[in-house]
Amino acid sequence: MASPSVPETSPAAPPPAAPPNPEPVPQPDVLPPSKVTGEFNVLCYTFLMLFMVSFVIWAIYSWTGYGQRYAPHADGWYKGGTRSIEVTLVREDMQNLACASDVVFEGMHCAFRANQQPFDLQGTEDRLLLRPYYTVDQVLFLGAGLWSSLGMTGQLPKERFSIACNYHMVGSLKSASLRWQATGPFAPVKDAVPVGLLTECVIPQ
Amino acid sequence: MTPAKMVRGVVETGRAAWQDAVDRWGALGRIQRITSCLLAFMIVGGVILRVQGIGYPPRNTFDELPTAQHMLLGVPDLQDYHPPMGKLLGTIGLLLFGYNSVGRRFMYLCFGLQTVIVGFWLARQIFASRRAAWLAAAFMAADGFFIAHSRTAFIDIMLVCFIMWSVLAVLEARTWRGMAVAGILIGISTSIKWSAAQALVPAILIVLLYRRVPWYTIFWFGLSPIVHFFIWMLGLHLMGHASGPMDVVNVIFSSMHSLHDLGRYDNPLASAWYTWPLLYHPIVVKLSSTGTTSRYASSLGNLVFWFPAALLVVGLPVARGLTAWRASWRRYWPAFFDASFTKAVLVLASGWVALQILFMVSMGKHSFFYHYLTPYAFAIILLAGVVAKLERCWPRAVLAYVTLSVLVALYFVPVWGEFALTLQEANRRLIFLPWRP
Repeated sequence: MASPSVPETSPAAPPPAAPPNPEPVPQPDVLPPSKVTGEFNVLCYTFLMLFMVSFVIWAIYSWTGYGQRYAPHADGWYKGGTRSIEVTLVREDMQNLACASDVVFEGMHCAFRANQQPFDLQGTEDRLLLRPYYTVDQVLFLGAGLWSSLGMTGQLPKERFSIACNYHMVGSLKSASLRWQATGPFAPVKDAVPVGLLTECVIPQ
Repeated sequence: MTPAKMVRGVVETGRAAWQDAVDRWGALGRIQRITSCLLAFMIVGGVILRVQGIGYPPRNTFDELPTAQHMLLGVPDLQDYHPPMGKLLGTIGLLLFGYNSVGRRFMYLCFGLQTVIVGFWLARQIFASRRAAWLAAAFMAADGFFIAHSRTAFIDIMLVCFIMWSVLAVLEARTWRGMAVAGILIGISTSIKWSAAQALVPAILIVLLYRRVPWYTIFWFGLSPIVHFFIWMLGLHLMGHASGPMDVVNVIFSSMHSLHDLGRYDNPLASAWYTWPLLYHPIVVKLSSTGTTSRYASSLGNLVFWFPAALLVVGLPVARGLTAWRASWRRYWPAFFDASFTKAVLVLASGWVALQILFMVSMGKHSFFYHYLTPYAFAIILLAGVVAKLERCWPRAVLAYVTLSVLVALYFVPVWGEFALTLQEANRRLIFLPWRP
């Protein structure tokens, strides 16, 4: 039986014309309650998405050569590259800082051999003597020529000071040990560190 | 299962998903469709904005510390006071791309994108609404606060991602296993920054309000300090430090003291917690100059989201309290909000408050604008839920709101996404002096 509130139409009457371009009625957007068995579904989706997103970004950067081509060259941390660096030092670092290794780069070498005996008993001029430094953004590197390039040892500030130099990287060295105090022990580096020549060093005013 | 069956299964799943999407699109009204297009534009634009030019500048800026590199080199890290998880994750980028600016920022970018995805799922599950999910994803994608932090090697973007993930895990938990996973995720979050421990407040509230698991499963959150401890051990081991249990305890106490000491010193970039919702002192987290142009990544949020989100996250719980307070007002709240929406409001608002408590009570002068990133994520998800609710009644008003947010985003994009700008162009966007570097 039809509800009295619903108007009935005669079977002979033509059907009402459909309105042009009917506007879809917005549907309520409420999700059904989660199932107990799906406890980890969402977490798995999100973990998978993290891997997929990382993979896609990595693939794009690698495929376009963005990661390899753009950033390292602009950084200057590659063999043959030159970059501006800033380090902070104290006067005593000329004696304090030293490295030990048998490897020679274009005449530049550490003050000590790998067995921690002096490399050259006659002494080595500063522009060929590698020492370890940290840049102000904490990148470890070996550099030669900082003190001779600065050329004003006698007038260096008594307190810690900052020096800006051009750094020309000639290679990288893994088999080295570093010393940070004149009487301190040598500790081996665990990964490759850049090796290069420091030139045109100035104390920024 | 044969490979052919697997492939067929994947193809059929894809077809079903496509058909589902077509059906849903057909069920939307014309205005909602236009809004949906704008949301899609915001998400796609937000992704492109995050990914483009990530390697520039090719040096560390601001607080981009080289700790991740130190872990790989195995050398002591003398600068950092935070637990090691963020940096451990950061090393993956260095292993993939080498020690350059792309490698340094890669994982932070991935987590910046992942934050949008986790925001989507959190909104979807807490409001039981797909529309709220898409709105949350679009709002987070088109907000400068999240964009700038996705482009910078800061651990805060990982922090916000893992905290939201933890809350999502608690929300999804139905058995002790789910709670154990949530406890592990909170442990990982606290291993990025200790402030993540405050996420326990919304997490416990979810257990108590939703009652999907017995209350005593809260004790599974006790896994988090154990996870935290083991992550510290791993980090110290990689950095070549002593990594025994007592060594870890000593390092943790020493780091806590160092952080506490930092609170004594003035820092021109510091800002008090109560200024964050007012957008008083957003920090330019990346800045580089070439000639007469500079590139800015400002943590300035999208103004159209910022203030309504703060207003709602404070106003809604207060309104709920007031309507419960007087008998004559009690009918007003249920007229607008059902019980499940009320729970969502309380959880998100509690997260917003809880994640600022540390900065209200104990960090002294060591509180910065970027500490608001995680509370803001809770606020913006609440905003998305409210907007989704409003759209059912006033789709045109919501369309106008979303359009306005797109226009505002387009105006501020150059100072979020590091476009080359002259000083005048930048200052036209960074209007107030505290907004400028």
